[in-house]
Amino acid sequence: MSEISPELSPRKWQEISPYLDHALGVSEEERAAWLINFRKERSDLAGLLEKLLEDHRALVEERFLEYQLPRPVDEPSMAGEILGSYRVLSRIGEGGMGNVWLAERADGRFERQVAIKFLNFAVASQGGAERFKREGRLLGQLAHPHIAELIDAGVTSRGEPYLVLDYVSGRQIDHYCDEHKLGIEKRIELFLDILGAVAHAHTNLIVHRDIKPTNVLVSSAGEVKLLDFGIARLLAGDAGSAAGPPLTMEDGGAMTPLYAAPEQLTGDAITTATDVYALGVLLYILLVGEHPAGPGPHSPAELIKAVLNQDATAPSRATAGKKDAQAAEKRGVSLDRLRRMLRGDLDTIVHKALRKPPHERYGSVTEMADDLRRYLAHQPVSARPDTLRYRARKYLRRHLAGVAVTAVLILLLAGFVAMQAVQLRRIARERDRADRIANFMTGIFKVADPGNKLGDAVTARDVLDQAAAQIDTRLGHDPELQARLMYVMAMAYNNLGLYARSQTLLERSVQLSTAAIGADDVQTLRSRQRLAWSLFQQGRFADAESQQRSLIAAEQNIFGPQNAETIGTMGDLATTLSEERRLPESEKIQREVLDFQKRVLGPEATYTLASMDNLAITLLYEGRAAEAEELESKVLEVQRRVHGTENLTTIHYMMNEAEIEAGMGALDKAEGMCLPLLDLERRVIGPDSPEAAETTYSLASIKAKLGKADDAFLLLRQAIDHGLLPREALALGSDPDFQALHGDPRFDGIVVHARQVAAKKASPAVSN
Amino acid sequence: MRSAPSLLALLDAAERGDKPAADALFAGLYSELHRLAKYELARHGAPMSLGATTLLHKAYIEIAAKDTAVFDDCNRFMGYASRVMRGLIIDFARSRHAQKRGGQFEITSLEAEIEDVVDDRELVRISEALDELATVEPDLAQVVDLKFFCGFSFAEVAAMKNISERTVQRKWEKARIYLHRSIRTGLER
Repeated sequence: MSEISPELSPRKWQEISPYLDHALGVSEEERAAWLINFRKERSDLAGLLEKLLEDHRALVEERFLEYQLPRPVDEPSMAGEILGSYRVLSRIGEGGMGNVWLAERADGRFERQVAIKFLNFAVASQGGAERFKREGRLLGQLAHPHIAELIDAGVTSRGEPYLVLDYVSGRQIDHYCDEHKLGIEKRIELFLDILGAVAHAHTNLIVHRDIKPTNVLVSSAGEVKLLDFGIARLLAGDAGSAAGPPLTMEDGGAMTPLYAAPEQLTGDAITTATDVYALGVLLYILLVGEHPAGPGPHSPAELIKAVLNQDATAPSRATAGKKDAQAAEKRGVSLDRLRRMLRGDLDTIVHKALRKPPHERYGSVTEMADDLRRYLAHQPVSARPDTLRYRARKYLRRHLAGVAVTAVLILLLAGFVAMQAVQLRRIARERDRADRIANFMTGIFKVADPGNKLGDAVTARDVLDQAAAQIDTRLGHDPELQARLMYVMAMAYNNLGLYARSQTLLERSVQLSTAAIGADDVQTLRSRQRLAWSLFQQGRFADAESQQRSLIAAEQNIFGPQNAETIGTMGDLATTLSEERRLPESEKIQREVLDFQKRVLGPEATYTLASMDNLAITLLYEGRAAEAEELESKVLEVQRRVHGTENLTTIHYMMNEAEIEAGMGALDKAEGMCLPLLDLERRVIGPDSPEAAETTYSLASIKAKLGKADDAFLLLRQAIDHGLLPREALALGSDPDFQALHGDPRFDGIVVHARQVAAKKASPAVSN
Repeated sequence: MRSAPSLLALLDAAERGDKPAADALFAGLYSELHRLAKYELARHGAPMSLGATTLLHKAYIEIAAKDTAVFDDCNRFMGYASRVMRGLIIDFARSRHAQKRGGQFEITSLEAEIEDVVDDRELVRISEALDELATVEPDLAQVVDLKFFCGFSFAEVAAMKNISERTVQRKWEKARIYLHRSIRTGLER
């Protein structure tokens, strides 16, 4: 038992095995320290152990047993066979679909070597062979620097179809990236080349159907080539439109739908969105280092379940396991940094590509590429976190489809009262009522300095509060008049965002006018409409919906279905449905309403514009941001021209427009809109108005996305302290628009602050 | 698998150390894998290759389809079948060594790449050393079967055996040290 040649028997192995375990399980430094001690304690084993550890180092170096298993070569060979104008040379590999052989031109016309791929299916009929060749040639027209060229397609005398392809030598992309320790950005750049290739194919109406790492090779020069374009379709046989073969039979996962999109498993239509999905899986693997379904292996049943029913873990959260430190290292960053890089935009982009319903994914490969380029350029991306579709984060301004909402409240009040006064004066017995109105008006105007413009000296709300306080005392007992004025003021409160006050006034108004003029009177029905609206504004959508439905039934009875009042309430219902995310139903009603309004009221009527604005928001919810933007800018163009800028409704439309722009990722544009808007809101509605707070809040989210955290925190605090609605303040912590600030300790602080302020307000307007 | 209904009993017996049962299990699985490989060959009627993992999965799916009660545990199956697969691979390597022609199909591991050339005889020696290792630390031998002969990744082996990937790697490293000593240096008895 000499130290130079220590013996190793099975018995000895058993004895030394636990120590070897320990030595291999600790770091180099720990091991050295541990060995010093071990030498003293087990001098009988220490020599052998050190020898084995030396072996270990050499074996790591040598990569002992890390080669591939040998492949017997004495099978019936195709070498030397002539296929068309090619001579087969040697086998270069195999894939799930068949063997690949290296070949060269038999006629010596070109030096070029090609790969001949035999497909594992037989073409039975002459017609089948013809179809195969024809489709193969069609694919051959697909020329792109990142697509492996399909040179020819044919069928051997034995009926085996084969493809002659550009010979590409390279590593599959995920291995290439890991071996070269490419960082996230470099990986995305490579991925963008693939997207370019797929986009090119899509414009030629060819869907790949089988995008996966083994089909994407990177040459030693770093050039990406996409293989097997459209071949899955050839394999699909005569049922060309049905699902291709999503089952992959290589990569150790035998017959697993590892890269299949949901529609490939369910047999639904294969479209370009199918490729978008597969590209999402590929991007996920490149970023995270594992499959969206989690670390394998997966049984086919598990995979099918994952593909059809389970949302993939966000890439940033998928990097939580032990081996992820290795994944991070292969990306040249720390694990912490990797998570931070993935969180936010990349999570969102991957998620959008991996949506289960095809229509919810990126509309095109180009859109996906655009988002990734924006990410690389540190610009905001267009994809929104998936919460957008299911939860209205932003409090978008909705408008009654059936009422003119005038911003200059005093003018509204004065106009109403003046008109009433004129009408009433004609009737002698109504004169004292007219006088009461006149006195009431004088009382209100005392708070305002008549020499100044409205917004400068006194805010609209001051005037209104004054009026509300006097409505009972100054009007005497005149329920009809009281009901009407309550109604007008409720509208004004509504415009100020004080929905609970609006609701209280409207409930009284409905009571009073039902008693005074009857349940079927237009005025009573209108009050009911506004009452339902104030419920809507407080987020009580179910209550609003049931009131709206019963009101529509009444109005259809009294006025008929093709009536402005009935249609107006239907518009309100559509808006409620939109917030309840019953989008198709909502959009259908909204378009009917709009048709009627354009026809009967005119294309520039206030109600028509309100309905267009509401429809724009529904489109935004449906993910059709570009259509929403177009519609909203039409609305604003008319609104500005007809009503001017210093108008509450104009302001609301402007807020929506900025929100839509931000939603599309046009952050600079949205920021440019918010600044003058905020100025306008402070001046016209008041510095503590919900509008001003909300625009400040939006501006903060834009700053956060632009990476200006300091500005974002300043603005957030300002919004919270100056009128931000409690329901928004409470949702701050989970608002995806501020994802960029997560992890910043200041963010946790401001979330707590927002909660405290919201709690202090304890406003009855909070719906949740 | 001709004798599917008795597989569970065989497996249990083999796990208790029943040598004839273990032999029967091996033979049963061997013939099943062999049959599958031949079947695939006939089905395609052309030169083809078949990954070891693919073959194992196919075998598992076929057997499980016949008797779900027997193989509700895929991982347990893979543990046994990987050893059988090694036998199949070694036999092909040997037959290739013995006769210049006649191998009908090939079995390869994971990736479709050009492999290093390896001496068949060394492969046989590895297999023998592995059998020896299996008597001392069967766990280590199984990792080699799964990883080297069948081409499963560390992650897959870890999931199958329900241990950490790091532990799989350590077992692999240990096994490799043993095999290297056994083949290159020789073990003193």
